[in-house]
Amino acid sequence: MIGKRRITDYDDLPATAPPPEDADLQQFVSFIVGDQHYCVDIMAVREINAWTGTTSLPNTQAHIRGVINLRGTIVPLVDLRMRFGRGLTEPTPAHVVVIVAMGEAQCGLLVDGVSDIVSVPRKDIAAIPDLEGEDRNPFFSGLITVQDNLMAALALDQLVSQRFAGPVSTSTAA
Amino acid sequence: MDSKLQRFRTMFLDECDEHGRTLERTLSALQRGARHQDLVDDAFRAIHSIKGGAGMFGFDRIVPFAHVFETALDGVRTGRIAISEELMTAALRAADCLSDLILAAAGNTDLAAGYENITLGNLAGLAGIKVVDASASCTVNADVDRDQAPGVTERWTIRFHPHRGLLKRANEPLFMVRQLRELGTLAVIADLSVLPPLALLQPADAYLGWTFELETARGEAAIREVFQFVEDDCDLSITRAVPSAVAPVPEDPAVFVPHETIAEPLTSTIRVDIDRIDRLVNLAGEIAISQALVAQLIDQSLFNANPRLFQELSQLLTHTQNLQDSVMAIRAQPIRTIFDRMPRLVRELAEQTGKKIVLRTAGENTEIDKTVIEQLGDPIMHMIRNAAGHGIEDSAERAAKGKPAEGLIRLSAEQRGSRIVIEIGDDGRGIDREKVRHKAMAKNLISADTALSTEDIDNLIFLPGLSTADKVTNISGRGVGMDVVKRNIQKLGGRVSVRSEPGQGSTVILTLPLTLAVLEGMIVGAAGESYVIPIASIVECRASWHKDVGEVPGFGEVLKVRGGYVALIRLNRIFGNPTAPCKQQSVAIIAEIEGGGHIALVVDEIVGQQQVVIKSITDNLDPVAGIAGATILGDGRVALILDATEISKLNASRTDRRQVA
Repeated sequence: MIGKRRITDYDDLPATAPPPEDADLQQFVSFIVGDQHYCVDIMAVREINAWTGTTSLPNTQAHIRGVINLRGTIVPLVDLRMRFGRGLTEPTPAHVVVIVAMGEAQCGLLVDGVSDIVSVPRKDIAAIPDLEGEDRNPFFSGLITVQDNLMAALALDQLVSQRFAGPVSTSTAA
Repeated sequence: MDSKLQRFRTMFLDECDEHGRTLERTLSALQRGARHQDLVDDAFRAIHSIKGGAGMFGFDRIVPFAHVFETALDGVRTGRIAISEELMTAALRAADCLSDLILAAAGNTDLAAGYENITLGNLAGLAGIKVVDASASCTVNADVDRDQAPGVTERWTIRFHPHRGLLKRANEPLFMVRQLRELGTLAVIADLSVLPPLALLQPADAYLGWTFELETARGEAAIREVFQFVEDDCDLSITRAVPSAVAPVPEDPAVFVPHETIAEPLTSTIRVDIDRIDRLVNLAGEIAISQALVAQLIDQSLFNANPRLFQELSQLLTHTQNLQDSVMAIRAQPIRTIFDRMPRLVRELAEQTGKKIVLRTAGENTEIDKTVIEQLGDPIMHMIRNAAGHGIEDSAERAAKGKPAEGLIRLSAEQRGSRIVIEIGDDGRGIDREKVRHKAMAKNLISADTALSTEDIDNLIFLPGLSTADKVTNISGRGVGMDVVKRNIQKLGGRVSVRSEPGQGSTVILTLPLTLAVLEGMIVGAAGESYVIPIASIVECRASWHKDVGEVPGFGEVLKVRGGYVALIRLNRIFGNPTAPCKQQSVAIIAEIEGGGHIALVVDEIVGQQQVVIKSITDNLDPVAGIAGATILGDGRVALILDATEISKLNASRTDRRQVA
């Protein structure tokens, strides 16, 4: 049921309007952060680049690695590992920046590597379980199982729509 | 109305704006005593074009007004009407009034009926023109031509608009055209404005109208005869143009004229959407960066292997620089567009205050970025109001001081290096320093014992809430003026200062960057990153500053600068680690902040100075405290542009928190 395609098979990528039989399929770009798989709706992904360095933004939250030059546009870069509270990434040229768009705004996600494009029937996207006494994790919109791998789909609007700068991090203040 | 016609109307109104400025320029010159045939001709052409276009697009209120105006100017042009200052003053008023009518036609304002009558009557009276019926049609005749003997060739303008049913009564316009042609030399302009799309066209109906320009010696009766059978089925107006010794007046260039009477092309310009230009500006900036990157990547050994590579690369560098300059030049506009609006303002101010004021402008052709121009109009207008309201004395006072009765306001612009300097000066009473000082003390803006140089006092006028006019008038005196001017100019990356001589007048000096897209910046290193500080805000840089630092408990560090103290902010600490050490070779940069204060910013090093292309960071993220924007350096990396005022605020909030803790 679950289609799996190589990222290089451009012919297999959906045209702008998905064919009718795929209407209840949703496609995701999956990537790795640490030993975990995550994915993001393919329609939000604009491009995928290698990491080439950032300019840090002063007094912003720690997961904002800074800004990058995307062909003349200034785009912020979010360290997903840091966003999930697992420490800062030590980026190398092998690391990957996934440029995603939410409405007019663009944002880069720093990840360890991009793995695949997956198509999932919408009905197979499981909800994030509610845990007793805990707030629902706001970063994820659902859980997907692909070939026995569990991956969490990012809720970009939650993760990114705060547009990052947010309150000044107090950890660096005296 | 279909959209095409709407577009032409918009274009016409745009053009009217240009014609209006031409009128203003030429008539003011004539009023001041210039006697140049070109000026009169230009003014005449401008008004003629307005009239032509207005008639074509059915702006019925403009046409009769413009017609009288045109007749008067034609009289001047042909020498029948003597030019006088009085007449030109009336003409200038008429030009103001006409631009109001045009605004009203564009739907921007409402004008009461008869608004234009006094101005028009005044002009017509001075020019000796009898206004037959200004509101109904443009049948106006110059008095002097009234008794002209038949047999002399005259020019007639005939507007012939058949009603829809004309053809059904077996009339044929073509016959009339032929008959007219037999009377003399004929030019025909068709009016297609009511022609419906083919699908809606009723073949038996008449949709076309015509304007005929006829030169004939046969007189009006002969022309009327042509139309005698159709008079009830059409709108007809027959106007005698003033005979002129000069060649036929150039026709409106927007009209197709089947003869050779096409107007000379005045300027070859095109109208381009500003977004397209901005895209071009951006792209040119990108190219410059890319080419710098390529140059860096090319290894010296490659140059050695291929000497031409170096040659071609420097060629490329020159071209990209030229490209950037040329693209910037597209956005540049002469400052005339603002200056030309000021004579009217001064005239109105002179009327309101009862003072005699002359405006003298210079450097109208200085070019400056369009965005800057758009935001300069209000500040300049404000300062001219100030000069007329506060600066210039009334005639009696001036006479007592032995000054000429006419007050003078000077408005000039010139380019100095990469900046534009605009000066607004008057020869009035100058800044009353005692009064300013007292006012500032009364408003608690300064304390009684503050030692201030005369220059400092003069610059107090830029503080919020300070106005020295005793009475609030509708011209000035609300005290919301100069601080707003200063803030707006600073927003444009410019600076304001004032120079004043008691009894001799004052001059406000604005210096502005040539463009907003590019900024002259100092590149500094701090906290492991490169930052850009706008040169416009930098007062001085000090390498040996360590010995002048003091610490004020609860406030933070201060630096002694020329006898005063300013807050010292270490960029390393405010942007990075709060306990970071300062390098020995670090530099203190004294920068001006909004409100006239200063701060000292300590950076690790000064890297250099260069023009940078300003990029917004708020397209994709929330504003970051202390950061005004970003740019891309030659190596492709992003560098943040600092905002000294915001850094000062950031520092203050940090200090507050420390106090609370």
